Amino acid sequence: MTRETNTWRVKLTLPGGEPVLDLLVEAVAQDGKTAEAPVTVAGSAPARPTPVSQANNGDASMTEPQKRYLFRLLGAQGVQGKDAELHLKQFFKVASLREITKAAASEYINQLAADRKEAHGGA
Amino acid sequence: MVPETLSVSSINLYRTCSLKWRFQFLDRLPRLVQSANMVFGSAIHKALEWLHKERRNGRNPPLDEVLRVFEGDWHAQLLGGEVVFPDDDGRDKFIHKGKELVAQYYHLPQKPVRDAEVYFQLPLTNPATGEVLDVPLRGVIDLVNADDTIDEFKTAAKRFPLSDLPDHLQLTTYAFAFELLYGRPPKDLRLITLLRTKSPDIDVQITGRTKEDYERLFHIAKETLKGIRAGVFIPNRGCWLCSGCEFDVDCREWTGNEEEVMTNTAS
Repeated sequence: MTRETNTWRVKLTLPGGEPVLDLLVEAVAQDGKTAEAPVTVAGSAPARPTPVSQANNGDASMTEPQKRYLFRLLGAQGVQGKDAELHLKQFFKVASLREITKAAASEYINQLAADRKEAHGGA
Repeated sequence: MVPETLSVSSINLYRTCSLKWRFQFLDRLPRLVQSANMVFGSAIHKALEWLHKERRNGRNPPLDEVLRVFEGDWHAQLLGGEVVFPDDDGRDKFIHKGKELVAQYYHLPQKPVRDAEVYFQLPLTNPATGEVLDVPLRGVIDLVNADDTIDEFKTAAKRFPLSDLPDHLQLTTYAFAFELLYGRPPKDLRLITLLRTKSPDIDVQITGRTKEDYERLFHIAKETLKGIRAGVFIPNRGCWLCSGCEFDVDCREWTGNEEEVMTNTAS
């Protein structure tokens, strides 16, 4: 976690050995992370990806708590597992759950919760 | 960076592995993997929350519905990223045991529910001196029963030793919060552990708290804040959190805390 500067030297020569280019490249770590590609130890966790927080249209993506709540609401209705996944993809017309926006998820949660309330006599 | 609030789980995390606290609350590193135990515990909590809220609203949902809620939450979490399962316990065993535990709990004699998932953010005061911590205490009480009993739910692979109960900081915090929220002490504090043992079982331990416990809570929270502000973050490799820790790689790569981190936390 220490701040580091990594330096590479790139030399380009002709087949005869005459130098064409001699380049020094410095990469300074940002945010306390080294600029090197992360080292992955065999059997350990994969390299950390950049978190994806936007749906394809640029709006904020459905949050993890929203996703879990949708699956609980659907589960309570008897729509479970892969069926719930398929239902959500069809309802939102998306190929992946990551494409569902936060606003759309919120709207559907409200709708499902209201349906439940109505089904159970306002309880 | 000074935390705006302090939760009891944050205090406990700092006391167990302060470096993990740094990765989680200061660096806010995204989690690459989740441990199956954590996913399991969270899904059980959500299923029980569902049951309690329905009962609070005057409806006793059928067991099948609560089991489907558990499975729905479990499935959603597995979609969220890589989940690390223990060698001896695959996902089918987790689901089977989870459903068994939810069913056992469902059939236990129940008290009427006053409220479920009670969020709070309150000033933490030393009852002996009146000193107020400059960062509020926040948390969530799993269940408040109509008879003023507080229930805290845990999932575990083995029983908590009864000797640890007086020092259970979460119970102390919830008792303290209850007194401020309801203006009276709780009747009892119950630690309800859903045991993911070979034969799943439910263990209930009952205790209480006094002003001395709240004083101790204040001191522990205050010293935790001091450590955070001073930038003290030390790995505790070998502790119980290491198994399936989502920051294992970061921990191995750690070579000390930068001066900058310490300056930020001290400001």
